[in-house]
Amino acid sequence: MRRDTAARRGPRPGCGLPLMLLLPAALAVAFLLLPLMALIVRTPWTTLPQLLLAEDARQALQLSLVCAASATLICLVLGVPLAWVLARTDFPGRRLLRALVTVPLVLPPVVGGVALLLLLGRRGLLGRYLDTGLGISLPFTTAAVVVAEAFVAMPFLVIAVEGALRGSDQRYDDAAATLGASKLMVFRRVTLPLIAPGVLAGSVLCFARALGEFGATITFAGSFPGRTQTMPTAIYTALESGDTDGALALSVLLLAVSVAVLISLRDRWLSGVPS
Amino acid sequence: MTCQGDGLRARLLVTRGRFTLDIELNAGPGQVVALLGPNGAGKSSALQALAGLVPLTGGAVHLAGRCLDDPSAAIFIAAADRGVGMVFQDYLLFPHLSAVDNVGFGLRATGVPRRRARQHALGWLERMGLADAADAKPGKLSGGQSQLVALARALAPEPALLLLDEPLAALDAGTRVHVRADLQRHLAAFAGPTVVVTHDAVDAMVLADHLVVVEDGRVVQHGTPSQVARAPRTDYVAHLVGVNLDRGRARGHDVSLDGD
Repeated sequence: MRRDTAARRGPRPGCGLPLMLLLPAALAVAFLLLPLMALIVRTPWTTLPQLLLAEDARQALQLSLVCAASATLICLVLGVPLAWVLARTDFPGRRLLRALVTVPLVLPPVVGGVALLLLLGRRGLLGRYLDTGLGISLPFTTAAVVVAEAFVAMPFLVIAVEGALRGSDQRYDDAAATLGASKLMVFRRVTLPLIAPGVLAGSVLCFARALGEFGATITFAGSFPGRTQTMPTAIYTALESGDTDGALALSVLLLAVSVAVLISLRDRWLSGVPS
Repeated sequence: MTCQGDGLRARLLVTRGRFTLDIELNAGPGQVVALLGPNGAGKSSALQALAGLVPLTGGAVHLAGRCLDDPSAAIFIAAADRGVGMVFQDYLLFPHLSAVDNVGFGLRATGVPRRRARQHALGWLERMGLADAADAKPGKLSGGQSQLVALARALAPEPALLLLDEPLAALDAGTRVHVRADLQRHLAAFAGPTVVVTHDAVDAMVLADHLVVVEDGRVVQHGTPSQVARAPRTDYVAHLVGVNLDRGRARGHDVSLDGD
């Protein structure tokens, strides 16, 4: 239906498209797509399986999947309730809180990594107590990768779920309340199932963001093969050490994941409203 | 007002922006009271206040000897703890649950084990003649079926008060007659007081023993259906019951009409 409208409203072919707009638009398309094409063209397709199964690549792949999945889980457990609070309650400072929790969305990830170090590092605000009290040192561990990824990815989930909550009909909550359901039961049995598509979209987005995380991870967790080296940091390390083919293989894999995410979300994108 | 007595006794004062609802509403056990009025008269606000979805600004609600809402005494019982069943205008059946799970929802909410809740819910669906539709999702039900499932869902937890918001408004004329008859039968079987909100005089006359006509947030007339039909007091009521109302002044046996 949307396509029909677009077709009706769009300019008919051959009725004098302004070159001043068309030319930059074509350049923009080329600018966005040519690098990806270069990546695909240069990828050593024949040796790709071996490259991805090489020890470092395999480890990075496995670690990336485990860490991104763990980060997504943390984001779900903490982020869905936060989205609920932002969407369904009203308190002074709610808008400010919403703005604050979305800061990591625009914050350069490397700054996020530095911030995490300052909080959870050995001499960090909290980290010093973890270190002296519990003997836990977070930075440069696999857990640090998960923390860094969750920090950067959580806003994506929160925004998607909050959008889904705002788009869902709150009167179902009323109906459940008149049937004697507690607030928690309404959330579990009514609200959550109704926004499940939005939660799924948010999780996919969150997972994709976590999978591609680089700046915060390398700052807070480093890039130690088998321990903190994820695909993005492995790509960087491979390029640095002249292993272009290894970098390409991992890059094309991440590209494939991104495209898969895009396809699975389609028009849901950030709105989170079930189509 | 004291907190005693059976049935529903309420004075509802709800202020929303510039609109004020201020009505008195009483219903004995087994009695069906229709709140009749044009759109925007405040009927739905009244139901929401009774259900506990909107707090009163003033007045009080007493149900079966229990005080549910009384701002002057700082009493407000939340919707979930009122035992007030409500059938919403567009039913609001949970789209992700089957008909039987919708009906069993209130029982589950009050801690009834899954299997017993399901059995009980199936019993309700049978009573409604909907046993075949038990496992259907609301999207597959017709308007009339949805209406009855919504009614069964509201009745299953055995509420102390039943509220219906425009129960027939969403149905087409053909099914409306049947569902109205069904509804009348099921309401008659309900032991507690019932409040039906409608803007349709026929629905009100058929379903209710007592009419309360509301305009602009006030009660303009109340009485049995025949009383209201025989002597409509406002243009709206007269129009509803299909007679012309001519205003005039009575002096002895003579009436002089206003206007012309």
